[in-house]
Amino acid sequence: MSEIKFLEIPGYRWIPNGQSNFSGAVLDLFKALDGMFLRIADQAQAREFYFPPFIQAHELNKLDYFKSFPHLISFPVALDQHKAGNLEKFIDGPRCDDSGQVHLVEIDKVCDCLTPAACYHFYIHLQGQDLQEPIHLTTRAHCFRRELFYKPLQRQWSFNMREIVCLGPYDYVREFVKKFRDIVTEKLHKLNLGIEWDVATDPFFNPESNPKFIMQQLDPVKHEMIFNKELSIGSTNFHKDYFGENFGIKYQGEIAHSACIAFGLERWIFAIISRYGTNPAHWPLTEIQNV
Amino acid sequence: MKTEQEIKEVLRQWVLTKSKKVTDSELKFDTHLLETRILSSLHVMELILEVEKMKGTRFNLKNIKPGVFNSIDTIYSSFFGSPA
Repeated sequence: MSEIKFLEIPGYRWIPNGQSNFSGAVLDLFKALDGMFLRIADQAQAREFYFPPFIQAHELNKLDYFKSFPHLISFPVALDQHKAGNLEKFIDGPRCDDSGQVHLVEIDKVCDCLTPAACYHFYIHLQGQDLQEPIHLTTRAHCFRRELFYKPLQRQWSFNMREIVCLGPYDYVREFVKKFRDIVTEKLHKLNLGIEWDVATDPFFNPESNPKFIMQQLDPVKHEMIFNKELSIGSTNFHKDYFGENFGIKYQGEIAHSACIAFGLERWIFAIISRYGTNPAHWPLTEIQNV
Repeated sequence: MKTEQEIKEVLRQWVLTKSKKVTDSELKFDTHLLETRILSSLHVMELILEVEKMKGTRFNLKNIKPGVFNSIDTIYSSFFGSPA
């Protein structure tokens, strides 16, 4: 597979702050892929949700998120309008310099985070509920993960993640993961993408001192779809009762178990273009729309 | 020097005092401790320290292999059993 010339992808524009613009053919590919993921979600009769881009920090704090992933998190900030003269000070200052850096003055309390993973919204949304039936849910969210460097379509600060989530009793959720991993594998095979499933851990900060990382090593619950032996384009994650316990979600009186299947849209586009080239005429759009 | 049975019983009692998710009669040497989250991740860190104390050595957590803390049997065979 030769190196991708990103400028040759019709409708694609890379923004060096770790984001991608799509239009034309590449936007059609984006929509077709998400349509395929939605059809997978339909097989589980998953209910679709839309969520806004912010998550309240106190909710993520219930998961110890700030200790586990301080290197990934991004915060929306705003200037403090309550402090007298603060906005004037900003206006009178350099505001934004030639390098593009904004010179902030006093900032308001930061109580929100930019969504780091699509499925968190569901556990927050469902917290305190006692489910009477297993449920399946899906959403596509703009996710934000700060990185030390960015690469077009592969490592972005902001990217799209489609997730299918199941909550219910242990055996049911475990079966969901197995069934849908098989379904996804079959679709990948039809698209001839050369994916392998591999055991994975989450990218914890100082992993060896984090009990959650040690637990993931000892009892692997996450598997990634590895494209071309190097890029994870999706994953399945059987959380067991982790989210149920932290958010008080029950299933018929017992702590609910959960699992998710996640697809990174930009990385899937990368995989398709790596495999089929930058010419949209060679992309398997019809296959994607029909598998 | 403790026998295999005694070491396993020490581990079993440790799990019973830490976890509220299993009873004395339910917890066997081959009961899966992680799959059904009888032990939480914090428990596992404590258990690693406990096993280190019993063994008198520190483990390199980087090299810790999946499965070794699955049950009291696997902990015994991974850390206390005679090398093959």
